[in-house]
Amino acid sequence: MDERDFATLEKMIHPDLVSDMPQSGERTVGFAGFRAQLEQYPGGGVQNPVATDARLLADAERWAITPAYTVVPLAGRKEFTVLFRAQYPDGRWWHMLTLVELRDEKIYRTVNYFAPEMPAPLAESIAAYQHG
Amino acid sequence: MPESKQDFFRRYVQAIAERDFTTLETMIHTDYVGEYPQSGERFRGFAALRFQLEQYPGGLPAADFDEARTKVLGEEERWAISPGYTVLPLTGPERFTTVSRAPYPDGSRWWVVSIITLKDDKVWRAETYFAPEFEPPEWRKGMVEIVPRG
Repeated sequence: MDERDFATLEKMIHPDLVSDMPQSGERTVGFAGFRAQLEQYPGGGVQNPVATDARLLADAERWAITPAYTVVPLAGRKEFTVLFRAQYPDGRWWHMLTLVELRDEKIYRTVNYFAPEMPAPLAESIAAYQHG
Repeated sequence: MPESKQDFFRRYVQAIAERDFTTLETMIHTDYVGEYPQSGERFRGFAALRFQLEQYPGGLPAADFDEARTKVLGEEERWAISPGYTVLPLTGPERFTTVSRAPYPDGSRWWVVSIITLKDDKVWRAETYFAPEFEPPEWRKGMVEIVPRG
């Protein structure tokens, strides 16, 4: 995403991708819509370096040894939370949180949240936040 | 039957929404640290958590809290059977992501996303983000579907 490397991205995106932005109610279906958003972001979208403080919150693949000494993958939903901080063309910094569900080793569902940096105390900043 | 993590977090979010500090205190670890990365604020211990909830400018309208929109992402307790047929809990941080939608005194609605780590079955670390609702921008029209927010 950082480098707009769409050839690589397309291999990582499930053909049935559904990507939601609950803050605006927007939903993107499929890779083409996902790509169009990245390409057409006003001002070129987030600036390099796009991701600072990027973190992935999830356990790595987990394995267990059965009584018969067979190694088996533990069942579990392939859900991950990705956090990163990015700067937009207007200079503002936002924290981005993406809840990702994998299927067939590809990105199948994402739910994306965008949280602006604001002065402390945050409660007062939220109360004074100008929407729109 | 022990309480599931899903139920634990629903009770936790509900206790915050209703300012049920008696319940909340039983769920918070004595070494609790909460962070708001958007503003860089950090607060330690239950008293600080309670204080900032009580002091919120304009108060928080608990009655409108959108419980139906609360989600918990994370796995339940995981267990493995050892070669000696002993059932063992798997190690690893018990980390969960909770998502809820909350109204604020000015009528706006915000999505609240918390990354929570449990210790001793209590909330030990909480990193919370607040994301405002916004109108879909013009430039994305035609590229996206609109899902009613309710």
